Amino acid sequence: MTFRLARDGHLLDVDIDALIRDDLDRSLREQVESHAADCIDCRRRLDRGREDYRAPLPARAAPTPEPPRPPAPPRAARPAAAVRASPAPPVSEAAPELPPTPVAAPPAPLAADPEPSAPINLDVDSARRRQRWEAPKAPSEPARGRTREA
Amino acid sequence: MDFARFGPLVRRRIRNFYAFDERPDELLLEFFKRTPPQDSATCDSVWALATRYCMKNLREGRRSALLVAPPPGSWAEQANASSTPGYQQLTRSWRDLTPQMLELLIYAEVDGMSAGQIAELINEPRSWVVDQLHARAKQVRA
Repeated sequence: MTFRLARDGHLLDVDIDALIRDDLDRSLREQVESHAADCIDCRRRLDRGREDYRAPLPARAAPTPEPPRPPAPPRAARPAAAVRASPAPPVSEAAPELPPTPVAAPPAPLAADPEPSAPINLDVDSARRRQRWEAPKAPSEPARGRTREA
Repeated sequence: MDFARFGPLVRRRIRNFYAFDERPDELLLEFFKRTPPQDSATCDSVWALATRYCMKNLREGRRSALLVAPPPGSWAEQANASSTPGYQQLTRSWRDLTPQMLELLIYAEVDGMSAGQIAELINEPRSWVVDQLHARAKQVRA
């Protein structure tokens, strides 16, 4: 912001944070500091803001690890390429019957997010402008003014 | 978004917006989880984003009431703004306002920003902000 003090000269929360975080330009910083030096209320709020910064923030939840993959189903048959590459097994007259291969259960679907929502749109201003641009025009009212009476 | 740097600012916004809410940290964590990282984030932009985030929650009905309270020691508190008709109507009939107007009024009534500051924050011309606030004041008086 180019000028940072609230309507009647007091600090805004944004000012307080910028001052604490040392994000102000020099001139603005001087302006804000001189106000805070004179104004007891703003000084108190500034102190409270510093306490806020000292207070521990809630621990951020660690990024959720990927759910463990279900164990790969046992392969029913070797890949065709491998089969082709391997030498042909000796043909026995009475080949023993293989037991039926167990069919692996399909992996359980992942639990859906209880509150799915799109990430916050940072480009709100342009979206708003577009919306305004695309909004249908309301039927215009008849022009007000002096009307000549018949 | 830098959690350690902007966390207190966002927490203060949430506390102002949902006064008497005892669990601002839940929203705080969610805000940082859903906001993509930004290299050029400033206090102003984070303040505006946090305000919009609170409004989005409100519109989705995840918080039933708008319980805005001026921060202690702020302009609005010193001027006893919460007893003015504009402020009371804001908290009473915020559902009738468009999101844009609600945002404007929160900056103006709760945060005590001037029209120029609001214009800069939401990237609109100052004259437009002044017009909107005047129209609203006229509506409240009527």
